[in-house]
Amino acid sequence: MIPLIEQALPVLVQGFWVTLRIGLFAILFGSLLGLGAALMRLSSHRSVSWLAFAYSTVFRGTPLLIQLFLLYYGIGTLEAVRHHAALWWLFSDGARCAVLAIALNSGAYMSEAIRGGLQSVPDGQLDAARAFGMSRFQAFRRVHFPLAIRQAFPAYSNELVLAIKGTSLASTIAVMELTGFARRLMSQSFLIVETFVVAGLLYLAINITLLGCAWLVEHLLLRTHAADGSGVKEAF
Amino acid sequence: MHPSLIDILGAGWGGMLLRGAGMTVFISLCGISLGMAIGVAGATLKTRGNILVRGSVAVYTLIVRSVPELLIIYLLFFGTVGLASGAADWLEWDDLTSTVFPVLVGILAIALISGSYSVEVFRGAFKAIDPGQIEAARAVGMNRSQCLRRITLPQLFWYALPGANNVWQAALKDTALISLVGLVELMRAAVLGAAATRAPLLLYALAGALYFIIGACSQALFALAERRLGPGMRRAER
Repeated sequence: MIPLIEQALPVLVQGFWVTLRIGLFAILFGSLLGLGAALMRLSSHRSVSWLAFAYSTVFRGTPLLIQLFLLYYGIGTLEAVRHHAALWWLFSDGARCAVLAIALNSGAYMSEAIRGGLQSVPDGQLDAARAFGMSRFQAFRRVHFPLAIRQAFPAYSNELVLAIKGTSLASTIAVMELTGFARRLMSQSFLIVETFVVAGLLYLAINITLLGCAWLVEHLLLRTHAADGSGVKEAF
Repeated sequence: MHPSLIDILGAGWGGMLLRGAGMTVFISLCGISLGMAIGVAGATLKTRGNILVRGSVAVYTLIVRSVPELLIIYLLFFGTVGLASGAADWLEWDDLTSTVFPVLVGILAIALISGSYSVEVFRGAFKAIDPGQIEAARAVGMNRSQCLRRITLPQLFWYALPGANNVWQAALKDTALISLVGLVELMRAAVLGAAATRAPLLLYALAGALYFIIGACSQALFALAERRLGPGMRRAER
């Protein structure tokens, strides 16, 4: 146990922070992408909704590892990207590329969860809001989105765990995060099970904290009091 | 300068990718079959077992689901690679660690991962079967194994089908991670091709398309199975 604590723990904790940073950025951008794609799916323009459908189908139908390699080794080595300052900033760095790939991947899954929520709101509610004199944006902000997010939240919070697990692939494009350091420790020492246990507990800690936060959001911010209608008031 | 699609296919990388895809399907099928067995066993233990047994099934599913798949693959690989090279020396089979061993690690990893998800799938399926049917079957004189074979299993298969489709699609994509411990499947074939031809964009896009096609075809098979099995099951439900 002593060599484990002396050698492995500081290294793994260092990787933990990298994992956390990549994961949180990926979740942030992925959620925005997911919301955008879900709204596009419900657009009355055929081409717009088809584009969002194609995005979510392609990214959900192929492995994250392929997407990551395609971005980092494929697009990242194109001449046009190398000579474009902003694109080169994004694609030259493994961590930024990993954030992009995981955000694109989990955005595709999140868009399905959010779309389900948006579609669960009865048309009559939206018609009523419009008839009430709300603009389309007001109706979305005050009625459609608050009702939809309650429905979508359980499925959405599952995607948070998948996004955190996805960060482990960043180690394959030379970003040393938790799994990368764990792999190095496993291949160099005999502390294989011990390394797995510590790294696993660190992942478990991130996931349980995230799910706990999601639970709090669901039960405190999104609470509904169906009986007295005060939940509806809160939404306004 | 850049090789075209025709150059790459002409240089034999098309065949290499297809052979890799064959290995991907093989690993997925073997892995998920074992995983389904784990799922049925886990679901049975979770519904029938005592608190200790139920607790250990819950710990297994919690750990495997919240830890990245890649970390589990590394644990299995580095945890057994010493054993494998020992066996290679003993059997005087030099390329054991580079050929058969990654296949075994891959199958075991997919089995453990898909097993943790299918426990819940089969638990739901067990719950969906009306206990009255079991009582009726016992009452007409069937013994336990007859009851399992004639009443429970046929319906279990039907109720588990939609969930099993999800587990299968995830398992198929998880096999790409086994390329990182040296198994030559679709992903690894693409990496080798990308290095040799210096056309990573094309090779990874081709491999991605193959994964997508395998996934779409199996999706169609699951839909067909649901349609074919559906009418009989619905008649029985009435």
